[in-house]
Amino acid sequence: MLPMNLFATLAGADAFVVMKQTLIVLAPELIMILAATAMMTAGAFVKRTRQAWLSTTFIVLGVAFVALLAVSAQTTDPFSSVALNDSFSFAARLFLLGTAFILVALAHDQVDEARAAEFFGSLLYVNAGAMLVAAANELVFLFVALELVSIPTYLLLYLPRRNAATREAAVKYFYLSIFASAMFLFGAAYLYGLTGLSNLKAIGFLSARNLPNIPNLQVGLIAVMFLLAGLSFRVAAVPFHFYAPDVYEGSPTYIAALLAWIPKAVGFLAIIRVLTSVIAPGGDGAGRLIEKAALLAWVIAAATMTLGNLSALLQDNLRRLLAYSSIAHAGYMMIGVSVAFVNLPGAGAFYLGSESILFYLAAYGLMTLGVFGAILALSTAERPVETVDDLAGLAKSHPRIALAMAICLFSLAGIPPLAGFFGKFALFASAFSATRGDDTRMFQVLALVGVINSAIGAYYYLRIVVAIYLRPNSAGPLPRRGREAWPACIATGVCTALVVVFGMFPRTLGVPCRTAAVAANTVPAEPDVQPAQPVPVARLSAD
Amino acid sequence: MHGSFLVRNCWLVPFFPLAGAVAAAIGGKRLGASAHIPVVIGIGLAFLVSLGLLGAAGADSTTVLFDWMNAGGLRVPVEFRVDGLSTMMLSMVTFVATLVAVFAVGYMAGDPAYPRFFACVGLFVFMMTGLVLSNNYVLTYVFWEGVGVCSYLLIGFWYAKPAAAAAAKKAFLVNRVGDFGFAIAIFWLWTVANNHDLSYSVVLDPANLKLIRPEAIFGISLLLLWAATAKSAQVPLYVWLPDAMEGPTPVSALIHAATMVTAGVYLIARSMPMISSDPRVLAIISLVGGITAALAAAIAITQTDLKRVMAYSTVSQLGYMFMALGAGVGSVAQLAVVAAMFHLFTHAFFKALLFLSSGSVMHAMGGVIDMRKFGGLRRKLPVTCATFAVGGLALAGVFPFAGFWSKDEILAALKLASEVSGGAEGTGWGWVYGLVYWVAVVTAGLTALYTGRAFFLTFFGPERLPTAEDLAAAGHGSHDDAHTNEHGHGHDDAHGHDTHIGHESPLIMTFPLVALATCAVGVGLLFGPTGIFEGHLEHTLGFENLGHAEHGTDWNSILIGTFAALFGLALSYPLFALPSRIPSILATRLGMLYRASLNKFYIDEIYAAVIVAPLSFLAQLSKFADVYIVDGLVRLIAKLPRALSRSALAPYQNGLIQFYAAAGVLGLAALLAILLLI
Repeated sequence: MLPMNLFATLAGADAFVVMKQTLIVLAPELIMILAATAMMTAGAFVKRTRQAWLSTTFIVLGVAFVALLAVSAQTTDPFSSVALNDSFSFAARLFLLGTAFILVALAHDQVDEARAAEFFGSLLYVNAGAMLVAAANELVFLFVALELVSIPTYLLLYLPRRNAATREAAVKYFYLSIFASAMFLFGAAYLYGLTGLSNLKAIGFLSARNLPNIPNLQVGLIAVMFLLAGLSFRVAAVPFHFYAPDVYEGSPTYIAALLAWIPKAVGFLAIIRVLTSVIAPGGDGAGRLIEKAALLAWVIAAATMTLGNLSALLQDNLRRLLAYSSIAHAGYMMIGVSVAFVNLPGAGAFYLGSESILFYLAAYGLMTLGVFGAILALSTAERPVETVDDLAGLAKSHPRIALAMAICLFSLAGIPPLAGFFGKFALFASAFSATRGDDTRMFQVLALVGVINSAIGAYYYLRIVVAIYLRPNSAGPLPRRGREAWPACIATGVCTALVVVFGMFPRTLGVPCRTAAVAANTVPAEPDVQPAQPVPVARLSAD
Repeated sequence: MHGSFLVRNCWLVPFFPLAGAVAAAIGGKRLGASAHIPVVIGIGLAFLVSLGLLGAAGADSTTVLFDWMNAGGLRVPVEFRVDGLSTMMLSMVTFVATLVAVFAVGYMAGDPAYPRFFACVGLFVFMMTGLVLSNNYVLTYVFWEGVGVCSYLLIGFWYAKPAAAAAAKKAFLVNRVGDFGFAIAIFWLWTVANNHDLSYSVVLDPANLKLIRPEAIFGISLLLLWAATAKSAQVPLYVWLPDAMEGPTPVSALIHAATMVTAGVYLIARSMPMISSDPRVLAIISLVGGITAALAAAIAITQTDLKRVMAYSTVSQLGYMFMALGAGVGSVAQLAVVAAMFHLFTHAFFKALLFLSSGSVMHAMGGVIDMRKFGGLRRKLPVTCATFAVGGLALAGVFPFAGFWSKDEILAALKLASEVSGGAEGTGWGWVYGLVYWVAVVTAGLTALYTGRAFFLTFFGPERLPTAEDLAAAGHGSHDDAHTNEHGHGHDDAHGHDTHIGHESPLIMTFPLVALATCAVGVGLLFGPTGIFEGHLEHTLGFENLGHAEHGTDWNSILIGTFAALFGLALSYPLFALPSRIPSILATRLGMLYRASLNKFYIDEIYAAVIVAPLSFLAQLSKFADVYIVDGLVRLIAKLPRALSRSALAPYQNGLIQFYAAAGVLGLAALLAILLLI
């Protein structure tokens, strides 16, 4: 029962209208990309201070922010447009734009004057690319958006500091990232070959209708595996996590902060866009594929969080520790991915998996950027903050930064009432709502693994808190940096405040996450002649 | 809910001392030597409000401030009750507290922790007045704990001194044992109370009391008695009070003689409408009181520490109050409660007086309080000697001093109780009261004897002052070393303030003595035979329903009691005032008895062997299990992840990019194989 008019729509949609809608929706990213291009071009000819480039960047972000709000009502045709402006897209882009402000604020003193234009231009590219991933509705477009994140990142790795360690880190990231992109492309090609479609909503639609071509289990599984492998590199999940500790440690702290947040966000948003919301609507008909995909994510989740937490126990270098911490958190979020695949009879609402990923992602971003921000606000050329011991006695010398850092660390450890706790709670709760057939144990065990890992993880976070509050610094107190660190301090403060607010009032974050998760998993209705508005499938609206 | 402005604002009574305490605590550093001002003013104001409340007392004047807890079946409002009993207690507490606070201004002068002392005293008065005002068992419990904490803080005021720290701990722990009983009583009461309401007005309502099963009343009453034996230092939980004398003397006078230790008596009296319905409990209460009174008096006779004599005397007198409360059977009920409360009332004045006089002696003797180290002080300390004499006569129960009137009432109540309970239609417990009556008479004689002994040893005989070694020992005893040493050979007294040994205390200390002495002479005569006290106490919740009948004056008891008192005093004069070898001869002749009394009948040692030792053995066992088994397991579990990480994971993080890529691909291949095969 192939709905012929679907393909009729795909072929016959008014190409000009679709392009206009898409360009309007992507206005914020376009502004950022154009500005970044202008900055990088001008940087070669015009001599301006770092302060000036910084201000320009902020202005561009502000304009993009206004543009994002202005186009929030614009929708596109889900079957023919490469970009969507559903709740998922809007919420994710809004949040990413918010963290872009924080990232730029943290970057305010991280580069010398000569390279400031390229540096801030690259930052704009990276953030624009991340936002495009959130909006992507097409395989090729998604790949381009991912590369728009990756390529400027290579530049950023290399720009601020040029010593052997940075060079090594940049090279490692470069090669492995290209490798991961290749795997992603391979998986994308299989997906395309399987369906003959590159529009993600259309593939989801096919999947939901249980159409004859899919699932061809083996081919479908290869597609899922390679897509997930390529994205696992971005989020630093096992077995593609190896680069993270080396690259974080070798790079400047600021770059480590960038790597801890942007690729992670991009990776999970892409996983929701290209995998879970495409496979899961297949429901019972795609049962075998769903089971295997969920099992795959299950194994990756368990391995990733356990490896991340265990390895972090031994670390003294803060960036290395936070690298393993970021691996561990990728593992927690992989629980959500595993749940998000499961759309089988008896399982709870399957968008709960996506919802918990989004909640956790937001919480993770805020608390990780808060910790990195605190380190950045403290570091000076004479006394770089490199190891846990460097933070000893911080509570005496910098009580406010110490408090912010402690709050973010408590949140990372998952202690209530902070955002990190509710993130973990949402993930574990979603695991308890998921079943595979009659078997509920599989996901309950995963939640249990997650809980044990949280307990192990608490050790290395609290170890830092202990150093901050209970140990004197053998090298004397860290110097006070005075006023010049204020942007980093404000960014840290904002992150900490949001961690507390989202912890105290989890609904303020939870409700947008739910709306976004529902939108991402919504399969558009069968088009008549006119492209229709996306409507939830029956199963979703029943929930 | 009617009531005057004062009744509605009775919270002012606890509020003023609290405000003073907070001011002293916060501004302590800045106020320094004038840290007492806010507290003395606060307590004084509380006294004035209490006086005003005396006139406003009614049997059901309650005022609800706010709901404290309201969860499920439990509703606990902060509600206060202004009736005969509470206003009587309030006036007494705030009056004595004011005088003691004034006394302490002189006594504590120069102490390094002067503000802390007054902050604690203010806090104590807040807790005590709250305890008395509360109209709810739960709220009472809160303040009950609160006075316990203040007592702990003040006994351990000189915490650097090991004896004081140990005494504070002992007092707290023994009181916790009693609190446990109180808590269980409240839980039980909650299950049986009408509508789970724990307000006195509801629980003690006769209509509601009828609905509670007699066994429940029996159990709850016994548990309340359990609680009272700890707070009011009765057998078997009295052991903390003598040790509590390690605290500063004003604290002993205020908390451990006049006010806090009467909280147990107050609780029983407050619950009398419930307790009096079960003659078994009453008999037990009387018996406990009788045993305590006799035991403590027998110990007091041989003690050499003046303050300890007073402490045992307090225990003994509290025993009298319990005897009286227990006598509240049938038609004697009201008389018995009035007798007990009247004794509580008069005792507060004369015992506070005796303690403050002892404090004055101690002050003048440079911190030495052992009666063997000084003597014949009547010429050196004329005012103290006179006030001590007044207090002693009141304690001994000599006409017309305060103690005479209240002790007489107790004897009369016991006699009546034995008559009412005995005989064919009685409850069969008459013999208990008969026995307790004679215990009371004998104890009255012993009381007079040890009071006379303490007085004569201190103020009569050849004049002796403590030697330099005694002073040094005392100085070291009650103060941190640095403080004493800077003055050298104990020339300062125990309180770090320069007085010359053997001189009368300053006016700020003698004035409260004289004021209290006046009361010790007058309050008995003024309130007892005139019926004022009884008339006031009748305006108390549930008291009008207690049995009462007209009773004639019991001349027999008056004569017997007076004879016992005079006999004791008369005996003490030749024994202790004149140079005499009789005491030492007696001590050798009655060797075993003497040693037993001197060593407090080995009660502490028995407790240590029977209760403390097994418990600490158990604690050692638990500690062993905790340190070596539980901790060991925890450490092992904590070591596992690190070991696993070091051995299984770290080697693969080798920094080689080709390995990383290969590992990723191999991992992917392995996963693919597994997933395709299953």
